[in-house]
Amino acid sequence: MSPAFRGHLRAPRRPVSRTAARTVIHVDMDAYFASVEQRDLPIYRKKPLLVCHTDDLSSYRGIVAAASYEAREFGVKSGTSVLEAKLRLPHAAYIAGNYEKYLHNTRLLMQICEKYTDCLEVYSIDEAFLDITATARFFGSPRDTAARLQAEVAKELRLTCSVGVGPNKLVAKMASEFKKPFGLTVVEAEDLPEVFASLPVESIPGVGRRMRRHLDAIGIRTIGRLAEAPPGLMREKFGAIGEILHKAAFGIDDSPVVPSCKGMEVKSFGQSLSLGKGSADVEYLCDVLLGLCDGATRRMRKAGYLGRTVAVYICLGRLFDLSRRTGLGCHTDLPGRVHDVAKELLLRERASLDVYPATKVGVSVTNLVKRGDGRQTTVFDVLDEKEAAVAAVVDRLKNRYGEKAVTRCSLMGISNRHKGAPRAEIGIF
Amino acid sequence: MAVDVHEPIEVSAVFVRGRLKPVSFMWSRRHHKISEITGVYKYSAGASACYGYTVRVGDDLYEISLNTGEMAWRLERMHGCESGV
Repeated sequence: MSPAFRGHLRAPRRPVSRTAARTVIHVDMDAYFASVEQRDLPIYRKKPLLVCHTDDLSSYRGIVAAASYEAREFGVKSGTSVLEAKLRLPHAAYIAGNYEKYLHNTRLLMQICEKYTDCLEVYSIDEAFLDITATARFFGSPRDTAARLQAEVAKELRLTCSVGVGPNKLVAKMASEFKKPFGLTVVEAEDLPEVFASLPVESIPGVGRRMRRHLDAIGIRTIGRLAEAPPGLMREKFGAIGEILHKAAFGIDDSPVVPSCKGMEVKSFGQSLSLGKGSADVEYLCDVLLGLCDGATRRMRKAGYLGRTVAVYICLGRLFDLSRRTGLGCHTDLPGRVHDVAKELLLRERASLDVYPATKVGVSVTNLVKRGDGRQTTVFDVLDEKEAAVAAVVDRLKNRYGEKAVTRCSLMGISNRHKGAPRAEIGIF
Repeated sequence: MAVDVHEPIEVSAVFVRGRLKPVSFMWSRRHHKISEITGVYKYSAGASACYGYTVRVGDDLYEISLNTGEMAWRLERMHGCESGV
């Protein structure tokens, strides 16, 4: 027994699901961006192709957004830096991502999925969950439904997807990872212990490097071992997350498939930027933050939200990251106030930045209220009428002419201003 | 490797069964006859609907786009022999 388990000697009881029996399908497109490009650009078929997120393909900046299966054989996958990819695969084809094209294909994919159920959750640009509990009988068994869906995607889009079928979202998602590409895996509830026990803990969606390290420290490396861990210990060590993880080890996940039209509760608006080798130039980082605040607050205004708390996230070198948050003192959806506060948080970390350059910065606005949802915001909220008027004009220009139609002077050419810290990857969270 | 171009071009196109099909285009004072359309997608640039086409000319592939708001065609990228692949 692991020393960490001592004091929690009672045999763990199997947690129980609170929801009725369901059948959920998880659809995951195979090497999505690269497959779309290989389909449309036949000269790249059966060759290592890397779709990159970068502003300059001739440089070594940016990251690989998707790697074709031919490229993956050489150990290059999404998230690899372009520098590393070019060292490993100097003769591969490198192209910049065309996200408009991928979104178009995603819309077509979702239209196909909608034929199989009205309970469809768009999980990401290349993933979706379908609750087919009520509709599977129209297509035969759940396996028949999944096979039919997979075949239709292949025929209509000329793209392959891997499909997992399970009693909930967690199991369906893990099942879709079992066989790739073009795999179809059905995991029945009664098969769960055998299927899951030997898998490493990081197979559970959401268990990343850091959580794996924490679990490793208490002797938990496999899902089977996680299931054996006393629930009290998990709760004590990891709080609510520990409880969820322990349930996950038994394949229990009560989260519903939330149809996108019903909308999930929005908790935050944020944006982040990877900075390649990193930057310690505080002035440059403050400008980057301004761009991120612009992006995040534009989305807030579009969705009609006001926020009251700002958080700044900074990756220092390759080893450390920190997150700092503070209140705004009012609700706002304007970039100026959010940036002022975010900048203040960043400047407090100046000493750390001198030691470790920032390799990624992010900003998020939380503590949200919906504009006009009945809750009264105070007279101090959205303070700057001039800025609100400018933001409204900028929004109208962007709505009419596109996101690149107008930008701040201070952000022009920002990607070239710091050679060590180019625009590499913008993430929205 | 792909080469970014982003230049306006003149395109001849026909409507076939309600769909717009580019047939040829002029670029760099040369006439390029399209032999195959390998991909089409739709997107929006602000309020304008745009269409992206991937077309084959000989052994080369070109990505062209139509902005229906401006009624203007552009050559966005090229892939293949001419681009040095």
